[in-house]
Amino acid sequence: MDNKPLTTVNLSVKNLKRNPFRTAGLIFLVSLFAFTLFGGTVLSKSLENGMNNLSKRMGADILAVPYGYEADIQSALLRGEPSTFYFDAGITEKVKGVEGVKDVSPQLYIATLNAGCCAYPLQLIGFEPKTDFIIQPWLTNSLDHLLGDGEIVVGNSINAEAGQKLKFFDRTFLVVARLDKTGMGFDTSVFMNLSTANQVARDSERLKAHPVAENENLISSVMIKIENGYDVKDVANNILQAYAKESVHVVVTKNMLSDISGNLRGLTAYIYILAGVLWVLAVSVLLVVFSVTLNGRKREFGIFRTLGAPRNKLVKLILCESSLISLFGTVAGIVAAALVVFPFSTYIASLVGLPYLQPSYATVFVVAAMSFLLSFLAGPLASAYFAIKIGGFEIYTVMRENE
Amino acid sequence: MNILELKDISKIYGSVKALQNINLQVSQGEWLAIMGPSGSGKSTMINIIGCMDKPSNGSVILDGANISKESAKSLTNVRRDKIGLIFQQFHMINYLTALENVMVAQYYHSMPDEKEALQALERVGLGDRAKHLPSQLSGGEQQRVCIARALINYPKLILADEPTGNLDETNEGIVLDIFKQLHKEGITIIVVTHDPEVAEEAQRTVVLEHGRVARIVPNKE
Ligand SMILES: Nc1ncnc2c1ncn2[C@@H]1O[C@H](COP(=O)(O)OP(=O)(O)O)[C@@H](O)[C@H]1O
Ligand SMILES: [Mg+2]
Repeated sequence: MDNKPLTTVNLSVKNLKRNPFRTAGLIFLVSLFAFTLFGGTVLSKSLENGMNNLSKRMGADILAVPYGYEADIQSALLRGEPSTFYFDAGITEKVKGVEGVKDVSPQLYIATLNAGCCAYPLQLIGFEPKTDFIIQPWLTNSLDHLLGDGEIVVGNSINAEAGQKLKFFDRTFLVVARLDKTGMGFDTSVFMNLSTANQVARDSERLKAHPVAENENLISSVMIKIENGYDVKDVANNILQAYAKESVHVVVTKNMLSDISGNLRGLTAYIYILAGVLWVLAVSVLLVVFSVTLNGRKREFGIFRTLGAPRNKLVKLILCESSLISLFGTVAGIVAAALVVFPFSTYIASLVGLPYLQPSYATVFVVAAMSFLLSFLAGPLASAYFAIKIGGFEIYTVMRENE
Repeated sequence: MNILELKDISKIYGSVKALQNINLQVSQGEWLAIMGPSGSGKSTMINIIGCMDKPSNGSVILDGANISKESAKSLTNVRRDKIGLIFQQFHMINYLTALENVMVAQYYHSMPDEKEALQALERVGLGDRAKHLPSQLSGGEQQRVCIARALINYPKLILADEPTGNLDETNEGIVLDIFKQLHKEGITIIVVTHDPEVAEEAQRTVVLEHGRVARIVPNKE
């Protein structure tokens, strides 16, 4: 038995302990809300952040891909999903000739492989260092030389620093740079020049036939930047008109991004609606539980009053009890959310399939504080009415009740 | 000297006249019994004296002060400082141990003092039950804890509303012995009872009928 002096807080704790199941249930309910609000907000902020970052640094206005692979390029870009679609490398020069096109740069996706370095599959992306405007924006320090044969740039999730060596299919590659965190498929990709990519494809033949090994003149997509003053839709149409017959299709990145933003807004709205529903649920269940237990506890409060407890002490006792429930629930919910959202952010990102960048610690802290406040309020708010009611009843009616 | 004086007290609940023109004086150290049929107003009278209810008319003078016009808040203070209440039901807080039940009265009065609380339990013969919860105590033991709790802040006046109503003979005897002891120490006791044996121990018995004092019977000396 504990020898703590009796105080309002101790009395509350003792009473909460006396009903462990009810107490645990209420705490769980509050924690569910705190979990959803905090976890959900961090999630949606991370997605928003990833999205903003992507639109800021996305160098291409249009992506040209083989007909039928418009969706695949999105999953390749955003999620780094294995992609094997190819068309003739000559498309690059052809597209460059279309009216309104300013810059073009080809990319070649070699299907993902399990490399020795990493637990997850990697996407190998061949690109042309001379014309590239896609990789560069994600490099904090630009390369001092064009990427040579056997040199690679790695995505942020790959555990290798510049100067280190990585091995794919028994061939060793020199890491010359690492990208900033992109929150998308690039994070688990390895970049190399086109001839190195072809080499890797040939090396991989030992395990499995690869189309790129057979034909050196293949690429997967062409990144396109348009001239100032041209409308992206018109340029995309020009490309289609000229080369649709050669199975070239286009994806307008602005549309792709706004689609994602739309999904994101939907997801954010869903999270907040869910949190709202849970909050209302938590408050109403607390309200019901407090009102039900209130009647059972009238005798208890009557005894306290006969012993000389002033009304305000009883009000305090109730508020203290509900605050303790709120406090434990809120802390449990936020800690649980933090334990899910932060360690598993990579997994969540791949699950959602959208760019995912964790906001700054300051933002996370503000979100935590707001979640705490809202969640903590649930208890005292739900019990306030009953606290006041308890303070107001007449003792003699209570003491008489079970006569 | 009178510790309590009821002057022309009436209490009306809607159309029910629970008490009508009650006049009564209780002197310091007196042991008074109140008897009467059910519904005659005994509890109403205890509630008014115990500052849990206010009379509709008349005045209550307790320990020299007229409390009938006091606010609810100061009535709480009067009750806390001067009165110890014992009821027919064993009104223990069921999530607190016997000791804590006594200490909670200290807490709302001034400061919990574990040693003193333990002594109070020893006094009612429950020193070895201090750490027991109400569910681990018999009815008689619970009532004795309630008495220890009522005494802990040295009240001038003990009000007991049928304190032995739910007890067997053995426990009734124990409670009566405690009351006798208190009486010897000079504490004023007002006890409502149906039991002539209990009333016999008091110095006077007030008999209520239909909210009025029917008669006052002096007992054996
Ligand atoms: N709060 C109340 N509201 C209405 N009537 C009451 C209330 N309290 C007591 N009464 C009535 O007053 C009368 C006296 O009650 P009470 O003092 O409890 O009697 P006793 O304790 O002698 O049995 C009864 O008729 C009872 O119904
Ligand atoms: Mg009664």
